[in-house]
Amino acid sequence: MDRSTYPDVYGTDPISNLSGQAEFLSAQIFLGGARHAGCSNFCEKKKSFWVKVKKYKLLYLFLVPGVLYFVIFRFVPMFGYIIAFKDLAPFEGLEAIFNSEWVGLRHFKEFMSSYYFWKVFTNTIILAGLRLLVEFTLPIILALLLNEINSRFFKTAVQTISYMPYYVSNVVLASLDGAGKLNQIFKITLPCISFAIMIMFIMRIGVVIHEGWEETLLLYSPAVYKVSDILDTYVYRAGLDEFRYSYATAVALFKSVIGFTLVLITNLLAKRMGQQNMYT
Amino acid sequence: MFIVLMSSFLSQEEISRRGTFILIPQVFDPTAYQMLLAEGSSIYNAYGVTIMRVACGTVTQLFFTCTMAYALSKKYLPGRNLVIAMINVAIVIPVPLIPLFLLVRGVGLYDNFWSMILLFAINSVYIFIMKAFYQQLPDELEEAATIDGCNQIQLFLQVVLPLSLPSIATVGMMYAVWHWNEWFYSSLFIVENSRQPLQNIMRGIIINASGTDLALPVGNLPPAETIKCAVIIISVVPILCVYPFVQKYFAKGFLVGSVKA
Repeated sequence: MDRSTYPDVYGTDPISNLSGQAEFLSAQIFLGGARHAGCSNFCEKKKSFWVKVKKYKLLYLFLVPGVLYFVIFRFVPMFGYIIAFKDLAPFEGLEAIFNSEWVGLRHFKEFMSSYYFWKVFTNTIILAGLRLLVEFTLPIILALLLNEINSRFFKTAVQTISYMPYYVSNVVLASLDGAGKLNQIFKITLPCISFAIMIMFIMRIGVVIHEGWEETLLLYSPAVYKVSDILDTYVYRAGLDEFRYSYATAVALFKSVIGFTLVLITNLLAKRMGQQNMYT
Repeated sequence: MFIVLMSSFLSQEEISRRGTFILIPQVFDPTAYQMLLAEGSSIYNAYGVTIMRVACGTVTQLFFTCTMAYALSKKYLPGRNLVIAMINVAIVIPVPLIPLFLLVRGVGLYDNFWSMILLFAINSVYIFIMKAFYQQLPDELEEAATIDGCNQIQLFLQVVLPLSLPSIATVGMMYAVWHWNEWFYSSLFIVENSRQPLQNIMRGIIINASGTDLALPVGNLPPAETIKCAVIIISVVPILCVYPFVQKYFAKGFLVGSVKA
């Protein structure tokens, strides 16, 4: 397609160029479509599905490694939760997952009536709660301090790394009003971001019980198991040190169910608050 | 850090002479360093493994993350919502440890360098970060490039990627730091001493301060604290030296990104 062959398609400005080309192309498509007019409805749908796949074939190709990773290393282990309801012998290989006998809720009953249950459970909750508290006071202080820095480079650099300063926008009103710096921070900036902080806090609740076990694993010892043993470290000890695979998976499933329920509840709550906020 | 540096030079006889809390040693005794940095020491191997791991791991992760995020950023792609729902489910339900262990053993990645890299090829949070970045690139850019005659792969490689360098740098840095610090899963899946990354060797030495995996002279052993401090210094100083240079490169990247935005 060039100017000499199709002079009425190529106008003089870019816009008419584009519309001219579009007209030309749509004519081609119409003519091409007429060739397929003999197909039935189903035939057209099937053709358009594969046509779409071919059209976006690079994008689908891009999706393949990611989806493969998720399926193999995230979803297949999730199916492994069924060993919590079976009696898995430790040294038998992957087929043993399918061949072991079902024991129902035995491991859960064993866990709940064990000597460790209450301590481990309450330690998990306490440590998660403390982590939430610290995570929400220190970053706010840091964000407010960073807001006072006038260097744009530093602000941009930090903004691309952490999320909190994103909510701390520049407060012009307070400086117009002539309020002192500290007053500005407490009376204007904080209320502006308090809603965002609350939503983020609520959404963190469901996630925070899954975190922090690596530090605990590094720093604890039998002398301090009473206060530092949490569900994750207990799973590690019972499962990999004592080879009680099914039992440890049952404890892990217990924690996952609690976490999942918390996430559902807190997300609903956050959504409800967000909707309310839109109407106030 | 200063105390650790000073403590790494203490000798046993000085501790017995002056008591345990010593700020600056009178005699700088480098025996711990001689021991740890000796010929057959496992620290050199461990450094190699960790550096390889950070390099391969970051590249792999960036490849997986950026391609998937780019595909997911196109709203018109059929099936996109299904994949995003899948990622959300994967975030909410954490991977259980024992089934993961059984899977790794069954697949044959046990005691294998690639287990450290493939098991964590994508961090879901960074997919959403990159996806948000790609969505914020203007559509006209891609339309203009397509009209100019780009095919899809050229569009990605020559138009989108160079623009997203600041974002890639940020995500890549976070992935790299994660790889450098990660020790738990490599302690589970890697048994052979020569394949262990630095953090694991360090942890082994600190826990087992008699250092049975090092070639030690039997007499004249420095005290446990000294060995521990020397290990800490050895694993931290190189990264401290490298970081300022890397920081400059990233700073330039951030500036470029902010000007474009």
